[in-house]
Amino acid sequence: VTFEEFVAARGQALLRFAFVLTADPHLAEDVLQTALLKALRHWRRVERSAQPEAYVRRIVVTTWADHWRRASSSEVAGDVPEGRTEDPADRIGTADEMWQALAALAPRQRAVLVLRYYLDLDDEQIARQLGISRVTVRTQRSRALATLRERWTPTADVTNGGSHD
Amino acid sequence: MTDVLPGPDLEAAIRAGVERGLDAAPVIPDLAERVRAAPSPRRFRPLLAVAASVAVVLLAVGVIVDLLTSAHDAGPDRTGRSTAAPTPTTPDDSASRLGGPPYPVTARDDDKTTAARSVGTWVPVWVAGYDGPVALSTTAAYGPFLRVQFQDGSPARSGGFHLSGRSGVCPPVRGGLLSTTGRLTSRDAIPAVGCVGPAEPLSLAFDSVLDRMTQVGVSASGVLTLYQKDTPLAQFVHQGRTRPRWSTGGTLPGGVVGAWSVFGLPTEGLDEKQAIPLGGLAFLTLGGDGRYDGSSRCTVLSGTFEVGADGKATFSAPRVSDHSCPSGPRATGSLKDVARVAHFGNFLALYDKHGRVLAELQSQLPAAIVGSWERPALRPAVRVTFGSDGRLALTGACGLADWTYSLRPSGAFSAQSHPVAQKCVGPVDPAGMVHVLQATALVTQTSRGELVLSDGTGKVLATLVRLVGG
Repeated sequence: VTFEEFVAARGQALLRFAFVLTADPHLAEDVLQTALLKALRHWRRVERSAQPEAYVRRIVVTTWADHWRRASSSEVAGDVPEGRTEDPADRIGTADEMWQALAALAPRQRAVLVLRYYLDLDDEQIARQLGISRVTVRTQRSRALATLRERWTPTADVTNGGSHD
Repeated sequence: MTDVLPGPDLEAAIRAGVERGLDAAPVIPDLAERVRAAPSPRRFRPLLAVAASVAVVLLAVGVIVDLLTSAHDAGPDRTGRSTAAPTPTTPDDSASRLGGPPYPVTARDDDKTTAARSVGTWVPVWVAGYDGPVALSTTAAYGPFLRVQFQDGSPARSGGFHLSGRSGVCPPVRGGLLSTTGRLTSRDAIPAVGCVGPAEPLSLAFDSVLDRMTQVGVSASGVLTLYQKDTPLAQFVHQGRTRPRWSTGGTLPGGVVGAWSVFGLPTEGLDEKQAIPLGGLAFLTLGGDGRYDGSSRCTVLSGTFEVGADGKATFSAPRVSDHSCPSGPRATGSLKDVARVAHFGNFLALYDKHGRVLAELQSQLPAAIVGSWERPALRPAVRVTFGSDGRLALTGACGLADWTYSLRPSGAFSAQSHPVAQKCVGPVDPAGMVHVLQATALVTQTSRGELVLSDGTGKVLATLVRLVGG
């Protein structure tokens, strides 16, 4: 499969993946472009791999990790109000609200959750992809879950195991 | 679509949230088509190889021809005519037409630390071919930027360097591999996977620069310059670093006269009061009579100024009129704090006595002098025609070549000649206009409508009158 064929076939899926990692449509495009550029430079290796898409997805993750690592060390934070008070209206009751809550998490926390619950990676794999220790993975996940649990309102409807339309 | 989350299982709820995020991701319906339409670097590799071979052969032939003909080219042609037709600078070669780089361009060498020193993310301060203001934001955001990385992502292994540039939110990423001396050794491009809005002029100019650049240089003051051979194409400052001071080169004081728009109000290192050094001033007009006028949305400033040939400047405290301002901060300005100005190309920087930048300005769009003019005192008459397309024509004598020119509202003027082989009978350049145009750095207009051409020191070289119907 050529690079062009691959991007044509899987580019959109990769963009979606980059979006759930970054929670920012523009940043997702930026991260994906950078990742594809890296993949292009080693395309023979990528296409020879058993799962080219998984290979490129890993590059997307490392690119994103590089980005927020660099950003956290060099960029000045915006005007984020501190001590945000809890608003009852912020309760998570729908998938939309859950996504908004995920998007509001710190980048590393969101990345850990996405890799765990979307790609079903274990701590060891997550740590390797994000370039952090397993302890950090566990810490970040624990904090992210605590944040979400605080606002989450479980519903009584569990009959279909979570698959809804 | 999922609306209600699964029951007490938080993990399942998170999976549902991620799924919703996937649904909310941007969609690019024509991604496949765009990718197919984009050029592949591989596709052109055989062509590049052939082109490189041809270039080597031509280069070798050229060197031999140069050696054989060097004796004949040692002196000027005694007839004064153009005997050869050098490759003309096209009107689109805007590096020369639209103002030069704001920072000094130093001679490049074979410094093997160039690529290593260029590692990082850079934001442009000047792009050849782009006439508007370049945002001097120190965060790249989604504007044009350049990034140089270690190829393997690890400084420790330093297996090489990769340069990539993106011109905006829409276009593809372009770049290539760099040698240690900053030479571009191979090109690559990756098609755009996202597109938000049409490409704007800065992006188009930046794209062109990325396509043409062959070399990276980094000055000791920390300015990165992209070159095509020896021609500077764009300059960048490192994202997040303090900008180096601008060059004090250029023409003074005449070059500062004109209308300027304020596009940079740096706040680094300034306290709150100083952080609005020009109080929201948007435009500044420096008149040839030593008076200045400034304006913002609702405030008008005026006063007098002096600028010496060495760049030292004095501005009077402004008279402020802000009757139409709503409540809020007034544009009281701090022009009286200006102690020095630096002018280069179409950029102007104002400094206080401590050397801090108070504001950075860029001249506004060129004023029109389109039409035909002549020097009335000289015969035979030579007609000077300024075209609206940047072309300049001299008619009335032979061998005067074709020209291109640029003129800014500040009056800064430059012209380049593109000699063509002509068979002439008669005097060449009887009015001396070739010399005049080459030496002209400032063009102003008198109240009677005459066009005054002056050199960089303010010396008048020629006065032109408009031809009726010209």
